[in-house]
Amino acid sequence: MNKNDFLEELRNKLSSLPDDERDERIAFYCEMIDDRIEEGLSEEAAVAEISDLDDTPYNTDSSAQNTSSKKTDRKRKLSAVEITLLIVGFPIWLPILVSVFAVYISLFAALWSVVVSLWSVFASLAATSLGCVAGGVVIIAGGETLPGIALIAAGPVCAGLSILMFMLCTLVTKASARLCAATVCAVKAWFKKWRSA
Amino acid sequence: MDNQLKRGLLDVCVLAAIKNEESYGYKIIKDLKPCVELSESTLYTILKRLENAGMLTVRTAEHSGRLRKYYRITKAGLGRIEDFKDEWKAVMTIYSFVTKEDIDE
Repeated sequence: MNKNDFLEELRNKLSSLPDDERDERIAFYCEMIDDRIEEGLSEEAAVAEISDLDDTPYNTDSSAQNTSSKKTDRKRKLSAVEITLLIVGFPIWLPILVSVFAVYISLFAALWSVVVSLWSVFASLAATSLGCVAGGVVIIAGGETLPGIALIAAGPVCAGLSILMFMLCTLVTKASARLCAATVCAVKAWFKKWRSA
Repeated sequence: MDNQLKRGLLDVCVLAAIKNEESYGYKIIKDLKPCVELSESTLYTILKRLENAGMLTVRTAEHSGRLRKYYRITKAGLGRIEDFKDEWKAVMTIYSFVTKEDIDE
């Protein structure tokens, strides 16, 4: 069984739990699997080590469960003071929230613009290498041998550069994706923590 | 072993695993392996219970492009370990008494 199958099965088994508690448990198991993989186990082996699913949902200790349920109930109720503060502070917190969100989105847009630009450079180099070869052949056919050869020779140079560019683009795209995922997870974790506080 | 007693022992074991430095789930399981084998579900329940009891705190940090939870013991947690040590002296006294009875027989 791979990690996704295991987590999906786990999600089904935990369907009776509140969403946040289920997500927390799934994140816990996900971390356990990732730590094993990091230590050198294959994904299947890592899952096999912890996949005693009969034991899993599992051992929902009643005291922990009750406390957690109480916590969930408490989270859903805002006190009158909190509601008043939310309404009175509306002109302050909303613009701040919008600004933070705008900055966040701008940073993401800037980051991905760089990624798109790099891929554009790669595409240009690749297209140029093909263009050079094709152009060189046409020029040679037209009777100008030396400029044609020079143009054909430029083709492999551009192809080489495009390969380097492809590697750089792949690296930057993966790093950007990881950064985005980590940021979203961090914001989500912070939000959850704030909600449960 | 009595469930209540086992639960208390496992709680203290987990607290002892994070006594000197903060740790994360998989490391706690590995550190406890020579002493006791814990399943993930059991560890999750214990960590949740200890967190709710204020004996440890949890923080989430980025590690190798993913998130990992780190557990740190609190003063209450350290106090629980000290209480356990004191309680265990009394248990050992009882144990000595019980085994002495066996020998006498």
